[in-house]
Amino acid sequence: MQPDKSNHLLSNALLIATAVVICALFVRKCHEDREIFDVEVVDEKAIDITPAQIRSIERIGEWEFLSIADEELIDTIRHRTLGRDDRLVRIYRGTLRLGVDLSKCEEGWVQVHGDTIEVALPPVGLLSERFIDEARTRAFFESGTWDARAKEQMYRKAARQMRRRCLTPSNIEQARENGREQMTALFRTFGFSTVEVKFK
Amino acid sequence: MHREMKTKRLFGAFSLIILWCCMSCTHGQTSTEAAIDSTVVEDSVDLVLAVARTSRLYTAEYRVHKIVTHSDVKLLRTTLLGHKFDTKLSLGDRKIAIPIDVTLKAYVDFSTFNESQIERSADGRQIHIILPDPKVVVTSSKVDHESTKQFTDILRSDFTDAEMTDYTSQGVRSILRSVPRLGILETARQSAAATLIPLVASMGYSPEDIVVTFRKNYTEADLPLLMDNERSVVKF
Repeated sequence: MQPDKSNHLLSNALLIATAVVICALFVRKCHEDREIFDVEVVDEKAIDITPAQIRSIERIGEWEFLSIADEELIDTIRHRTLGRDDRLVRIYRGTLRLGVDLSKCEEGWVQVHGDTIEVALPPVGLLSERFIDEARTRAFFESGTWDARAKEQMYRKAARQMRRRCLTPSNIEQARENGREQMTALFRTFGFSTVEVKFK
Repeated sequence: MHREMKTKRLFGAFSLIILWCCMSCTHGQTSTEAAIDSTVVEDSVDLVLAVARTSRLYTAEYRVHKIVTHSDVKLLRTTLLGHKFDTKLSLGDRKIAIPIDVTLKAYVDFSTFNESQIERSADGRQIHIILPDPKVVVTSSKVDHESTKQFTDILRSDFTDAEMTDYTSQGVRSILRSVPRLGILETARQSAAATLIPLVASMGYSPEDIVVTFRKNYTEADLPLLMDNERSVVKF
């Protein structure tokens, strides 16, 4: 009887060991090739398909002479009595475009005298007050929850900082100088030997 | 006796946790305004400041409004022998709607304009100007934070700022993909002609003798071949 019992135990042990080895090999194969078997929790990141609505269409005549791409790091903190402070740090991107609005040109802003042309352009300035591309804003660090007012304040602060950093006298002068060069080159292609460009 | 002491300790710890939660919630709400005004840190590090001399004539501006929506569904994806099976997990819903306003401007780049793009008739009365192809750029985009709405079930967390900016970015990209159907191209061409013809007429030409054309009549099919490296610029 004893030998039979021991044989029975041995065969059971062998069966179990074989099953374990097969399972281990199967799991290893699944890990290497996830097409055999895999389970994962998936987040759908894509937005829904929604229509875009055109709010306005405008014909404009703005001549850009200088563009300044800028990034600003804006940080805001909410202090707490207990626990760590809440903090939101965002990086805003914007492009400030300096040039002239041709719709502001006065009557007779182009005067031709033989092969000389005189061009009187309006002052060089910021072509649009909206220059931040908020879609390219990067959330650098966030803790706590932040309402719309906080984000609007951060946006306005970013705009103020960009204006302060980019609308410098040297940049405006550089835009003016480039405007003279570009206009001179343009009117020379039309055959004028002397081009005088003035800004109001 | 021992059990009674244990119960009292648990009750005390629970009370402290509740008290801490209450303090955390209320203190932030009452001091938010003062906190933002007085503790905004100004960082003067110049991260990127790129200045470029340009010669662009912007001739058309489109303002586009879009409500970006997203329903956050968690799926349990089972892959078996190459086949995928998705099952929606009942963890609660998260939805968000973000209104955005995008400004698109079309322009003609005169930085490479030269004499080869001007043709004159033999008698010098007529002039034909071949302009560079119009391009479209996103000059600004703005999220309406006040009107942004999000709905989250009790088991789910609120949308993070990083998630919202990702959805906003996807929304602007979807607007860019619809640019060929907006008609901004044709508006840009007509406006460029309307701007240049009076300018050239002031040089002594009669408006009827001025012809303005563009290099190529691009269609939507040409779009994939002409995508610029710059993120927001689409060439036509």
